Amino acid sequence: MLLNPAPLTLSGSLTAFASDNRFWIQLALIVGIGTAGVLLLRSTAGARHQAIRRLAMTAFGVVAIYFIMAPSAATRVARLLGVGRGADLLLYALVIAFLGYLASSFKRIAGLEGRITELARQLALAQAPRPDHLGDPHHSQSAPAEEGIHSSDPPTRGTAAGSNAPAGGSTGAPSSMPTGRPAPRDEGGRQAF
Amino acid sequence: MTPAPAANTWLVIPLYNEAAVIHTVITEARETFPYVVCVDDGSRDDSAALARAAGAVVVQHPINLGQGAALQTGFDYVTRFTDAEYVITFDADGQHDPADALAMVVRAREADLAIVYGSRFLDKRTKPGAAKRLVLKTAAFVTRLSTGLRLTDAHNGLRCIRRDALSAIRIRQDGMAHASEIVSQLADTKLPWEEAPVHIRYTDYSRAKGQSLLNSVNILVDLLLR
Repeated sequence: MLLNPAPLTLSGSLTAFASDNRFWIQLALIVGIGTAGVLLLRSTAGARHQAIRRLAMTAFGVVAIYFIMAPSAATRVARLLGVGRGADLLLYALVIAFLGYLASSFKRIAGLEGRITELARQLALAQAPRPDHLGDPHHSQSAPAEEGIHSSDPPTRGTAAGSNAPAGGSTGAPSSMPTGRPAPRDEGGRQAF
Repeated sequence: MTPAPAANTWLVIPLYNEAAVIHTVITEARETFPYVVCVDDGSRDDSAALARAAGAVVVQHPINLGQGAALQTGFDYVTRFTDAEYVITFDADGQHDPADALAMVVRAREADLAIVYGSRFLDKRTKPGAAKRLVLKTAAFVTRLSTGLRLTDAHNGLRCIRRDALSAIRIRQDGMAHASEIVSQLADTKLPWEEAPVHIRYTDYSRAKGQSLLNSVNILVDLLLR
């Protein structure tokens, strides 16, 4: 960068661009930034958030391409800000961008985990044996209420209402309910969340 | 015979890899409390089958989610599918004494309490180590600062919660910080509560399984960064 100072103005750098020996690396970097920018612009999220991100990405792309074509420009901006070199300035910006990325992805992952938890809990409850499938509490020691819920089981009995038949192997359901047993509630279809 | 207070009470036991003891724990508990829902949190051993064989209703998480999530699933099970008036949260590792749990339900009923928290520091039966005592007392102090409840113990898994209070609980901390979260949410309800003395049976087994002291760092950070 210092051995091969670039022209001081953008138009100057453009005239020198094609014949410069930096041409190929510059082309590769610009294509890379363009591709990354397009990929990021295309991803979907909340409309407002998405618009802001698209503007930021566009600004980032323009600045990045400018710095690639005129490497000394970054150094001039860095000097202006009291930072020694353009490369240092880019490093600082990268650190900030990285921390921002960490923070936003941490939040996103926490949200994702919350949804997975809710999904798994609802699945577990939908497949849970109802209290009335169990034998008399004092005589069901040898009668497991239901075989294990295997992940390969087709979800044929998952609905909250009306799944009165255990999947098989149930020997514990008495024909008469013992007194004092809590009655099952029919709350099928209730959306608790 | 089932004592009357146990007839409308369900035990909620979060279960994760406790095959060595779970059958005994449930069998013993069911001598007092016939209704037990065991939330198997994706155990890799045969804990779930053993719990089922011991006569518990077993609700199985398809993947491991954490003890907080398991408790919430148990609460949801009880409120959706039973008419239980009280829920007892009970540990799977055999630390808790069903007699203590029964005393808590009896007390909740006679004093019209919505919540009874177990505390190992109200009598001399429990002998925690100095380091454990320090961590628990610190956690109790932090809980007191954030909720205003003057609890003597923290992270005690034995609690009695009445149905109306149960519906106020929405555990979001999947991991171990849920214990303070439960206290905080119950404190918001302003419902009447009390502490009851419980004996924590520290066995070699429970000591080996129990939360390490380092984990209290995680609990604290989880709570502060909520």
